[in-house]
Amino acid sequence: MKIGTTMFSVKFKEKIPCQNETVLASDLAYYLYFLDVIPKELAEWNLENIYSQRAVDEEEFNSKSKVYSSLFQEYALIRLKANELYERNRTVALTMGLLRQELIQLKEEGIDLPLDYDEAIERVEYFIYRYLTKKQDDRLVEQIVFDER
Amino acid sequence: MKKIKQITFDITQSRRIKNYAQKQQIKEKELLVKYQNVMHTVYLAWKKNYGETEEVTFRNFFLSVMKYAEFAFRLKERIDDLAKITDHVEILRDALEEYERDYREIIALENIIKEIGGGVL
Repeated sequence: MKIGTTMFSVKFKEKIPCQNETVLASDLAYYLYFLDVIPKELAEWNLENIYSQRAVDEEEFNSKSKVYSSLFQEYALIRLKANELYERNRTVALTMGLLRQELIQLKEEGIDLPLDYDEAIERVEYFIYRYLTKKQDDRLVEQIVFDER
Repeated sequence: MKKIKQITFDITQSRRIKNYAQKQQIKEKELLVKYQNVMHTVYLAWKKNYGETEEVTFRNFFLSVMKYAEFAFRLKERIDDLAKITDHVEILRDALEEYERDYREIIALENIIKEIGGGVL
């Protein structure tokens, strides 16, 4: 096998029947990405084996695609919802700040309420920290893009 | 029938091989060996099944194998994508559920404050 600086060549193990070398080179270059999935059992296969294996694969492909497409729908809906939350959070942030202030004030005034002040303040602060600051839960913000297939 | 022992890729094709090798972080040489092995396997399969009679030309058989491989590759990709989206949707579901739960708790607090007619809320 000789490797040139710009042009590669492949030496075959045996003499391969080939009418048109230009076409074969072009085919080989095109199918480059798929070399790894050629099964080892191929050496035993004839066309019928190839076609029947393809039929089996197609069935699997279709059933996987169905699951993928329903998951993609759910993914798209959650993303939409996450975007809405992100928008809504800008207004929610203001209310949360006020709610925190209010709780602190009521606690100082010693007003009796059916809640634990410290716990409530902590919860509001947690919510603000978790969802409304730059430190927010990045699971909903993180953008992983999937294709609809 | 004309037979060849070697094939040379033109500059564009060679560049494609080079780029793919870089992407896969392997040496071009390894890809060329892969080509050699694949062609060997295809040839053996063809010869074993049809070689004597040539009822199926080598090219026809070669293309059938490659088209199959192309499909098998798409299937592999689909399986990988499915695993990825399954994990991600799971994460999103949990995150959303947690948000809804935390938000409900906050709203409950807000309502208590509202009930006593607290300040600006």
